[in-house]
Amino acid sequence: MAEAKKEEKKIKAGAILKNNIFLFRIAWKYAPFYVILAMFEGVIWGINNAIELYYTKMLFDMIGSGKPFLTVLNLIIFMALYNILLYTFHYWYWKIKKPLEQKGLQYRLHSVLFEKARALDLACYDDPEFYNDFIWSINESDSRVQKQLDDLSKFINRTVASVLVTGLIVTIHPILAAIILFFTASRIVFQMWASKVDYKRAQDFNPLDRKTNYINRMFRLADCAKEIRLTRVSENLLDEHAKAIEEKKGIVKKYAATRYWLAVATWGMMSLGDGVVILFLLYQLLVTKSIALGDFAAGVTAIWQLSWLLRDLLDRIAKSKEHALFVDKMKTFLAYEPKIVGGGKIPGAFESLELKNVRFAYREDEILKGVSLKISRGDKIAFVGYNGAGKTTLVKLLMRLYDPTEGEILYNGVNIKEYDLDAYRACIGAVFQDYKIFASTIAENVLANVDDGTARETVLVALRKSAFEEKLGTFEKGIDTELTREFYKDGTNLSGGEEQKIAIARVFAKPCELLIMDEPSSALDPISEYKLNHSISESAADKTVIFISHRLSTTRHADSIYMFESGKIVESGTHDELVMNTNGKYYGIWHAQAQYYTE
Amino acid sequence: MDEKKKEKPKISFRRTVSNNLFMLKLLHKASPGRIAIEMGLWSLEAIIGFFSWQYMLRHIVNGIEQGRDFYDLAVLLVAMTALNLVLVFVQQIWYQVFSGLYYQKTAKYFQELVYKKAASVDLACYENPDFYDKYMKALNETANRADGVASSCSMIVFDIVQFAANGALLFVIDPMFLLFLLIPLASSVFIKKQKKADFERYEETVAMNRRCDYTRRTYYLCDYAKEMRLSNIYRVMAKRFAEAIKDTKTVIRKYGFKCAVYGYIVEIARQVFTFLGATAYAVYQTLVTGNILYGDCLVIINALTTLSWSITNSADSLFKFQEHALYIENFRFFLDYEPKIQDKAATIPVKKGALVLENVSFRYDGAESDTLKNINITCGEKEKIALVGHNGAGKSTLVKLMLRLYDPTEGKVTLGGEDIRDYSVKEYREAFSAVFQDFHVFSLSVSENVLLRPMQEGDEALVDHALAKSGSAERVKEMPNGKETILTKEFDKNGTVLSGGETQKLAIAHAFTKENAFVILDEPTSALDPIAEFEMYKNMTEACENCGMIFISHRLSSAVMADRIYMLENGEIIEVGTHEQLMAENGKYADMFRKQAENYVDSEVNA
Repeated sequence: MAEAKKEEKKIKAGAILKNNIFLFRIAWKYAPFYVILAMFEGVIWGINNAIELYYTKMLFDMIGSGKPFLTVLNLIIFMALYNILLYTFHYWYWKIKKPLEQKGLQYRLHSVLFEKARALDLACYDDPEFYNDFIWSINESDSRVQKQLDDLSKFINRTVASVLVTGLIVTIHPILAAIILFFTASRIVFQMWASKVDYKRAQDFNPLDRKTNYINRMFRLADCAKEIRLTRVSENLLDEHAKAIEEKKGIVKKYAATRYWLAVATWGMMSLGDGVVILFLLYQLLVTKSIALGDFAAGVTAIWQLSWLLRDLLDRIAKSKEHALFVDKMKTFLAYEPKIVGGGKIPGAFESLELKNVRFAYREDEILKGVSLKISRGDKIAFVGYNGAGKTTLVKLLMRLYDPTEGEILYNGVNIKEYDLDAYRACIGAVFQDYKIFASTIAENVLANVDDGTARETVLVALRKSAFEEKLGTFEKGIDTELTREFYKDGTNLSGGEEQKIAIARVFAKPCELLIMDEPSSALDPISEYKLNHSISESAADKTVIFISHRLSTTRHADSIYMFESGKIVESGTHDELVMNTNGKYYGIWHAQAQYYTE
Repeated sequence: MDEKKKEKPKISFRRTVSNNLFMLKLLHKASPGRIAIEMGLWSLEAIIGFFSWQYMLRHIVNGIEQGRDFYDLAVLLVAMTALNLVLVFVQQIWYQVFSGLYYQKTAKYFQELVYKKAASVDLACYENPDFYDKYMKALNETANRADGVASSCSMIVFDIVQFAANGALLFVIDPMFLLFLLIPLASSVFIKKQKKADFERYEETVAMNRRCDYTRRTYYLCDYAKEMRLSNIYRVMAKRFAEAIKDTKTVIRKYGFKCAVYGYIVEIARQVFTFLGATAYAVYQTLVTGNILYGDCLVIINALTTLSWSITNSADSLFKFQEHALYIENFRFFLDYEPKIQDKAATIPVKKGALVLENVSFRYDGAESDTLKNINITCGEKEKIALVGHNGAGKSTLVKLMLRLYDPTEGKVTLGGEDIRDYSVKEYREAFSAVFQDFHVFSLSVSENVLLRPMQEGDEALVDHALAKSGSAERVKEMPNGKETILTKEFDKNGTVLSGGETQKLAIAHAFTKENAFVILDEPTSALDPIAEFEMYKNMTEACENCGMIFISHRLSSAVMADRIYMLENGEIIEVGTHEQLMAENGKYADMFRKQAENYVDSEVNA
């Protein structure tokens, strides 16, 4: 999808240059030594092309003019020493220094980008275009910078070589240079034309490739293995595959004639050019006698080199365009100014949280339509309602992952926007429905911080409170057990329910007064759910807790229950108050859930 | 990662040859003539290239020395140029027109071969990481590998022809020059060592790169965004990123010297000893002994360059064949795999009647204990039964046995009194509709997703009926192309994406498109809110008026209406009966039910 958009974007030559300079600057900032070496490598290989050519000329001039053997041998030995030196540098750079420098660049660059990424508003992630184009793509920025540097190094190499080789050819015979340039240029024109056609063809292929890739995935992934076996859907997929292939063949045919004549012109020009140049050299050598044998030998080699060099130079320019497009993304990413920024105040111990007519809209859709409520220290509150009623969004507002579109949220009577962002977020412990376990030790997962050994008791207590203790006992390394197999192949993979308990333990390990539990037991079976709910209630007895659930059994003991529907609080009160109203919404879902449990 | 290295695939020479031949045979079947044409074209290019370059240069320069006339030499030059032009015209017909079509033809042949095989492989294979790994590689790589083998064949033919032509020329001029070729031949030992060092370094960094990638994902991926903002876990990730980078650098340093030195030796052998050594010798023969002509001297230098490259390239191609062989090995393993679950030689038509599990035990391959132990379950023709129990009690495995996605290790499953292994797998599975928790929506039209088979005449009405019954008719009507709307955004940015609840309704619609003997619901309600859950059970029960129904849940409220409940624990059935019976028994079921109901029940009484 991102590709489809990429091509539509045209970019001007000036911008290409500017953007490439931008990348170069980044490379220079984070790995200056790497940049110097890459440039050096480019220059010496460019000079090398000319040296080799000049060597050929000298060699055959010497042979042609019958110089003594020892003189010629000296030249050859000089070349040998030169090669030994050249390759010593080359292999040191290529196999040892460059990979190390690349890693250094990767590290330093990402360390900066990481901070920037973390500062982005969560809302950026909700916009799939912004997300794909500007966040996820930043992941490849280090390889981009490297590639650009490599290309730049080659670009320098080709430029230096082309200039020197052309100079050498001019010294042989100025008209020769003109002939070579004519054939090379016309070849390049055809080639550019051909690559335009190829590009169009690739565009046509694009959707079909996506289709065949998709079908491949369907047969490959375990996700749909059951459907493939239990139904006849594989026939549909094979039909689609056959259709896509036929369409691809159609595209090949559509472009075949144009592509054929362009290829014939390109390669024909090359063969013709070779013939004409050699003929010209031969004529100069034999008829006008204006050049020597060495010139002839060098000239023949030079035509090969030059046409290759110029073609490659063109490729590099095309590549720089690609780099430039990437830079646009990077710039947008770096230039993004977070809208959610903190003030200077530091929040004190929790006393109250108040929402005043809070409204919130994602683009056009209004998710919250005026919510007001007040929570005081020690309250146990529940938000209930169907999926999509706005409960989770409200939590995100409380955590200041988003700011309300209208209305305000007050913490201890002060608008939360006035507090320092990190300090404010540190006051609330929240566990989300879609919690994540990180590839790290249990201790670090629970602390959600680097384990410096000072908080080990906190971790153990938190795990006890989240009913994970029993499972913990089965681990040899206790809280130092490595979770997931991302880093170590003997890492431990937990079940969904166990992971949830770790996520809940995070809240208990965080020294805060206000806890938010968003569907904390959804992945658990009934017994575990039951145990966990008891445990949470006990551990959080002296804290302020907001429970969110669509399963009402979990929330019925709350001090007050807020029933959400389409972004509004439609009913509120204690459980007993709410079920009294048999026409009410709360009674409706309560009854739907409870009916099968009544014997 | 380490494991993979240990079994770092070694493969015998014979197997290498046999695998590549195997692939060539398939290629021949997929697109007959292609390889012969390509090899022919490449040999032609090598020969014409040789004549128009080496041979002609020699002829011209020697001619100059011998005082031949310009026009005399120009004729040959013009003729050669013309020949080259003809080659271009011929070659491009293949490259620009036919090779693209043949490529698609090959892709189709191989993909279909693999897909059909993939659909027949036992589900159990997906749980075997080793098999799955091979399977993924076979699926991903096959078509490209086939092309790889074809192009390696062409390349090696090109190199051999080039080698033979240039070698012959050198031999004619002075056989001594062939001795210089021994140097690149000898240095290929180092090429091998260098490749090995490069490969080992790469292998060792793979794991570390994965670690880097992981930490980067946590910073840039949406899934982790909340935690990275709300807690200090980002510090842990930053630390891990730094560690991974440090480890990678250590590995680079460890192998750096080796990698550099081997590469250096090979390069110096070629550049200095072969190339410049031979030049010195040629110059000596030209200037001192006068044994060879100027033209020969020029040609020798060119020919040696070409020869040393063709030796390196051939060595590369041979390594390539070895690499191909490794992948083809996976591919053959996959193609040769005999599914354990397949039709017997003679099958009988599927009978109606009760589905019965008799003393069924099941153990996963390589597992230490049975997942299911001595299970007896009966589901009569029109009965509704429920399987309940904790996570991991074996409920889902049981369903897979019923659907014959696995065969029991002991005991048997019967339908209508016959062992289900006597039925045709396909026909037997046709008798079921199964709705899973992880129902997959395909990027096909709504109709096709409901039918899960190609559309036929008269299916329109059937789809309408199913959509209406499952309660999704209205939603589908709102879609841009009604039931022809393509689902998911795979192909179309504006494609329709269904919510969890809508997806589930679609899965249920499928059950209404055919005559089912049984409908199986495997915890399908977890994505639904209570009202939707209730609706769904109501609909399903309605749909199953004339068929058996087996449902699985850890939420007991839905089990109440079953004709019989089976309570599982650790792979065994510990209690059987109706809800009332089990409650009266006051066993584990009753305990579990009460705990779950606790909060609901007393208040319901109050209310």
